[in-house]
Amino acid sequence: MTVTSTVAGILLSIPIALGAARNIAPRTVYYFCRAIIATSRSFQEVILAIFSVKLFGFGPFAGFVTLSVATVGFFAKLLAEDIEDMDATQAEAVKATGGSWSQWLNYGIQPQIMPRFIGLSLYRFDINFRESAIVGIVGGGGIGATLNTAFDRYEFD
Amino acid sequence: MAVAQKGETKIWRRRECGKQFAKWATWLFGTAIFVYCFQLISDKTIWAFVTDAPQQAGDLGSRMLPPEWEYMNDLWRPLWDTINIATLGTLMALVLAVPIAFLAASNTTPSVVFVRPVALFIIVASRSINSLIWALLLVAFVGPGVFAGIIAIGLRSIGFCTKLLYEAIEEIDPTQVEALTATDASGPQTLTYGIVPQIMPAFAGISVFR
Repeated sequence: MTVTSTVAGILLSIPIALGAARNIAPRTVYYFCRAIIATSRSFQEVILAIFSVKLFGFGPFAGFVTLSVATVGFFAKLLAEDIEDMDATQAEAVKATGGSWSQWLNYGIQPQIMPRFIGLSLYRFDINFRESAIVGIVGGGGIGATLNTAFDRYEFD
Repeated sequence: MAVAQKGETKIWRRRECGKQFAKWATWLFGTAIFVYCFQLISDKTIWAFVTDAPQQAGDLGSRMLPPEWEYMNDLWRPLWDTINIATLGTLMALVLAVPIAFLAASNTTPSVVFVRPVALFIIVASRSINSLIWALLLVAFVGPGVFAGIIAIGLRSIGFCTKLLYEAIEEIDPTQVEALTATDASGPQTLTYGIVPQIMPAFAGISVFR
């Protein structure tokens, strides 16, 4: 559950982070993406977990959805701040040589944010690993479900 | 970074052959792991429940809105309890976090080899156990009620506040501390007049944030 939700969350948050960076996004896209991030971060993981168990039934899929949504908020925010901190001259240089939009992203922006990106993914992986125990308690599957069963049987040891 | 490869002409590639292959192999390996994990999840998933999610969401929404204001009369006391738990828990955590932060910061700890690892271990232990788990454990220890909540919030917050505090302590300007020791200030005086003023903004921010 940790692996899949981290990967899915990161894939979902890359476009949102690009849209939430003040220096590369138009104003309307910027506000829209920031609203998505704020909504995702305002819910505690347990509440999201209960909500998704209601929607998707018990089992690890609900946990996967919960952790992905939580990851999006966390990851996109920090990545957007890193994009805003980047050196604009490198990106401008790529644009000046006539690069297309995807080349501008790939060669101008991506090399600058890669170190932070890798660090954040590992950090989020660790956080998701811990959160999956909590999510499992409310029915999300994984080790939390085993924990819950043990609690119900008063098997504290 | 740019590798020129000669046949008769020079070709620019972004990475060397070996690195390109390693990158491709990593992507393949990573995708394989992802597919395997997703397979494990979907084996345990009842897909019928997933596909009727919109109906479930509609059902939940229709029952959720408009909220029943009659419940508010039952909620005032627990709301006040919650505010108390948060405040007292944070206070308890801050009081405990300050000495531990000083022990954990590499520039103010009495012993780098013995004391600092212990302090760091306390921080990690406090942070790695989620609030909910602390709360469950404490309800088993001290019984249900507000007291267990206060201690659970406090224990969890110790890790959070201490981590941010000790990072703030490590970032202070050493010249101010040196100026104080040059005027023959004792240890506690150096602390109070040299270090504490520098970390006060961080401390205020952390307490409110927590």
